[in-house]
Amino acid sequence: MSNSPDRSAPMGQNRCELTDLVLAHFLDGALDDLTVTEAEELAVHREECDVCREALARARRLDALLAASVDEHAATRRLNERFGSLLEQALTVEHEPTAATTATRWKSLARNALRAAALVMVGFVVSRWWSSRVEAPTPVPSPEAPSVVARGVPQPAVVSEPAAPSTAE
Amino acid sequence: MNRPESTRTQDPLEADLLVRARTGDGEAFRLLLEPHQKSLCQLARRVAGDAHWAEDLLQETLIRAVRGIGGYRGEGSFRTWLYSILVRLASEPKRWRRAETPPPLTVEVPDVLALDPADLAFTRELGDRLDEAMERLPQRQRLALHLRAVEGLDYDRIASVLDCKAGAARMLVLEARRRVMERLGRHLEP
Repeated sequence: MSNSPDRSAPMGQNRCELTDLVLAHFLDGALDDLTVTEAEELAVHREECDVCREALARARRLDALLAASVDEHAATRRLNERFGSLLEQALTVEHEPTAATTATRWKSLARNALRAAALVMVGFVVSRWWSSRVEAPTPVPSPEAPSVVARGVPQPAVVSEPAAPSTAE
Repeated sequence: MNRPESTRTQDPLEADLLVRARTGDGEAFRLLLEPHQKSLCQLARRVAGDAHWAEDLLQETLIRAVRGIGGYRGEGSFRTWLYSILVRLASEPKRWRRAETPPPLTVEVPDVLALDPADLAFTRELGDRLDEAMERLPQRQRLALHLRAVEGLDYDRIASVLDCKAGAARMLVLEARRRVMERLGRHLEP
């Protein structure tokens, strides 16, 4: 079915769902997976569809303009003229860090220093905690060791057990 | 996905130059780059927009290429490898922008173009409008369209440079074309 573009509508509003396929196939040659029949059908559609035919013509003009304009641009010409010296510099600074890489190295160094400092701090805290545990062990009541008695607090009287009667008697 | 880029470099001259360049032979490196000089300049200009930034980008690309030539094993074309370096750098401007000043807005695009296509002013205005439309595109779309329309790379190679699938490269090209064609409007009609 042929589509007729509405010239009063803004550009890009006339759409055909096959336009992308037509451009990809006939402009970019990129649809290798099309069968012969599909390619033939697409060719017929291109001829019949005003939207696709016009889009193809405009896209071809765009590509040609892009290719032509890039050469004529003053900046491109200037780059072409400077290319030799830029390459020369690149070859001479091969082993010298550029400003960008120097900055990156400093950042990397700073990051590593921060990591190391954080590790040292964590290590310090852990060692302090561990040493406090070693120096102050949980007191184990010992029958021989005097019990800790708070001053002024009355202690219960110690009642000694009577000695067991001797069997020798 | 079958990519032609996955095949090793076949050109014996290029292969010989590569071997020499890897050993630090500057002249070999120059000869290796010579065929790609023009396209590298065009790509840098298209990506960076501003002339000074384009020079910064090109300079850093060359430095990276010199440093990285030892790691290039000839898989994929040398041109694609160079483009990949430039494209990767393009996404990280802090790594190569030395000029501190932002690029001046040099493109002044009138709403209405001259009517006579043969007129030089028309051509200049059309060029400016084209530049403006390209600069409005997201960077990957701009790159994809440039690589397709100016460099003539197929979708597989564009995908290789942009580190994406061929289908994604195709969508980038088609969307970029659609946007630029919309922007240029009827001035693209023959």
